[in-house]
Amino acid sequence: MKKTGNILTIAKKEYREALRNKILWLFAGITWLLIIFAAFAGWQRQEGIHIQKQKATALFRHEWEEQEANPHSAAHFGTYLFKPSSVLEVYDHGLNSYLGNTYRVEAHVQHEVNHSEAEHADTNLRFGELSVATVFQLLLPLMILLLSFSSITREREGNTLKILMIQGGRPARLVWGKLLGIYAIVLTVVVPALLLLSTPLMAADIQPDSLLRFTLFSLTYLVYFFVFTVIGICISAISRSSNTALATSLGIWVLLAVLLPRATIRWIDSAYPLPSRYEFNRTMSQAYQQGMNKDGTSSERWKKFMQETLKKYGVDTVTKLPVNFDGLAMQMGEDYNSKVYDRFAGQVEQLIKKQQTRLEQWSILNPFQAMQQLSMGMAGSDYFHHLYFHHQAKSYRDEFVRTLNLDLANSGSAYLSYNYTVGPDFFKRMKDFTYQPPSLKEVIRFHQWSLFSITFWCGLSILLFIPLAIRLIKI
Amino acid sequence: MTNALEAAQLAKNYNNHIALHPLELQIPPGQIFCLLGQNGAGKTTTINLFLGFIEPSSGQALINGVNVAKNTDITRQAVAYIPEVVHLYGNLTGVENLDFFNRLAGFRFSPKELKAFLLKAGLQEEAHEKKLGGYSKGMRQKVGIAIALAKNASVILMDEPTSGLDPKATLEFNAICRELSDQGKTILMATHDIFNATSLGHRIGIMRDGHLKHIVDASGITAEGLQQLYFESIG
Repeated sequence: MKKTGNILTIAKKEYREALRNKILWLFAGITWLLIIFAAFAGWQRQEGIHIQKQKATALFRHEWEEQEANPHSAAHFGTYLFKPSSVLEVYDHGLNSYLGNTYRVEAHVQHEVNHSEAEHADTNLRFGELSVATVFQLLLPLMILLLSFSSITREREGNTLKILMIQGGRPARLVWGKLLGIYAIVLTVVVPALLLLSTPLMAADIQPDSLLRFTLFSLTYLVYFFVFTVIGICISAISRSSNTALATSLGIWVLLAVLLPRATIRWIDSAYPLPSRYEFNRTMSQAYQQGMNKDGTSSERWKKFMQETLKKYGVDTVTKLPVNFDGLAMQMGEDYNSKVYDRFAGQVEQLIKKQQTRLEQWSILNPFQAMQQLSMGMAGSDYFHHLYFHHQAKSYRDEFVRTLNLDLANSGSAYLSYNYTVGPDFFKRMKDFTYQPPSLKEVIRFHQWSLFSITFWCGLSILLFIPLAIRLIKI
Repeated sequence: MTNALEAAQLAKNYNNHIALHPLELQIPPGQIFCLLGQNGAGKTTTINLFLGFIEPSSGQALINGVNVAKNTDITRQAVAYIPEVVHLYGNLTGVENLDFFNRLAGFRFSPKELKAFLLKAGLQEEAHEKKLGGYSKGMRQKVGIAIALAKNASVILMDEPTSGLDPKATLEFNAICRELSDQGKTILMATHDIFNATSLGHRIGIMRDGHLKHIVDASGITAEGLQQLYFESIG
C-alpha cells in the first residue's frame, strides 16, 4: 500500500513540477507546431496528388473509351495506373517519395512503377522531408531524453535524493515514480496530437481498416516513447552528474537514430548488392531475344508457334487460319516477355526481400529502425505495399493486353491487315483497375521482426533496464 | 536511558583509505552535539553512517538503541536530515514541498496544518504559497526544518546547515534548534563555525583525519578557548 502510494506521490510531484517548467512548454509547443505543420503539409500534398491522380485517371479513361482504333494500336497507346495512397500515408511518406507511383500499361513492355516524387522535388528532399513520422521517430525521443536525463541526477545534485530516502523513498519507488510521472508528461504532449491526427480518419469514405491501422500506429509509437522514457531515466539513475547524463543520452540518441541505421544499410547493401538498371535491362532483353532454357531465339519461337497453330487448325498457311495469327503471335510474345520479367524481376525482388528481412532482423538492436518499419507498414508506404501494388498492376496489365490481342485474333480481320478498328462500345467494356490493399495481417507478418523488436525493447526496459537502474542507482 | 545516538567502535574504510577510525560516541536525548573539523575529517562520513547511506566497515551506528545498518527502515523513521544545500523543488511552493515529503513518509496533513509547521519552523506566512525557486537559503532551510517537525523526528542530523546563511538567518536557525532541543529532540550537527558551535552546542567534538580528537562541554569553554583547541587539534 505504502509502496504504490509512494510511487504515485513521486509521480504526481514529477508531473506537477514539469507542468510548471517553461522548458516543457517550449518542447511541447515545438512538437505541436511541427506535427500540425507536418500534418497540414501532408494533407495538402495528399489532396494535390489525389486530385491529380483522379483527373489523370478520368482523362485516360475518357481517351481510352472514346478512341476508334485497331486493338493493337490501342495496346500501344495503353494507359497509366496510379498507386492509390492511403490516408495514413499523410503521416508517414515512407518510401513513397522515392519509389514511383505511376505504372505504365503498354504493349510489349513490362514497366516498373515509375515517376517518384524525388525526381522533381529537389529542395524538399534535399533538406529532408518533414512528416509526422519524422517528428515521432527522431524529435520526440530526443525531447523525451532531454526531459528525463536530469530526473534523478537533479535530485542528487540538489540533495533531495537523500531526503527522499530518509522520508521513506526507496530506489525502486523513486525510479518507478519518475517513470510514471515523466511518461504521463509524454502522454500529455502526445495524446492530444494523436487525437488531432485521428480526425481525418473519422470521415466515412475511408478504407475500412484505416482506423485499426491508426490505432496500431499510435500504440506502437506509445510503446516506443515508453522505451525512450525508461532509457532516459535509467541513464539519469546511474550517472554521476547531470552533465554526464546529458552527454550519455545524446550519445545514445545519435547512435540509435543516426549511426546504427546508416551502418546497417551500408552492410546490407554490400552483403546483398542489387544489379544495376542497365544490367537488369540488358539481361532481360537478351533473355527475350535468345530465349531461356533452350526455348530458342524469338524468331525460332515465333516459327515454332506458327507451326503449332497451323497444325492445330489443320491448315498450311497463316492466311487460311480462321483467326488473325498476328494477334495470337503477339500474345505469345507477351506471355514470353511476362515469363522473362517474372523470372528476372522476381530475382531482384527476392534480393530486396532478403535485404528487407535483414533490415528488420537488425532492428532488434535498434527500436528506431523497428519503429520506422512498423510506422510505414501501418501507413501503407513501405516496400511491401509497393510490391503489392506492382503485382496487381502487372496482372491487370497482362490481362489488359491479352484482351486486346485476343480481340484482334478473333476479329476476323486478315493477317497483317491493319484496317480493323473497334470503338467505344468495345473499349467501354474493358474493366477499370481496382487496387486491393493488403490486409493488416499480411502487413504485420511482413514486419514481424520489427514488431518483435519493439516488444522486445519494451520487455527489456521493464525486466532489465529498470531493475538494473534500481540496483546501480547512486544515492 | 538509551542514548539517542550512539557510535560503538564505528569505522569506515574505502579500499586503503580510512575515512573513520573506530569511533565511540554517545549523545543522550535532547542534546545538541556539534562536530568540528576540516573537510575530509570524517564528519560527513559519520552522519552518512547514522543515516544509513553507507555501511560501516566495523562497529555499529545506533539510533535510539537500534542498529542502523540492520534496520535502516526503522531508524530512518526517527530521523530527519538537513543538508548544507537544501534545494528542494523550485517549481513547487513551500506548502507543496512540505506536503510532498510528508506524503512520502506516510503522513497527510491539511493545508492549515502544513502552514502551521512552516510557521513553527519560522517561515513567514507570505512565503508559504510562493514557489521555492524565489526563496533565500535561510527560507529553504526552514522548509527543511518543517519537514523534520512534521515527521516528529526525534533525531535531526545536519551537515553544515548554517554555512552560507547571513548572521540574522543563523541566529534564527539557532533559536529553532534550541527550541527543538528543549522539546527533547537530539541534534548532531557538522559545522565549520566555531563561534556558533559554542553558542549552540551542548557538547562539541573535534575531528581530524577520521579520528575524534576531543570532546568538550560547551559550558566549560569560551569561543576563543575552543578556537585555540581546534587549531591545536588539527595542527
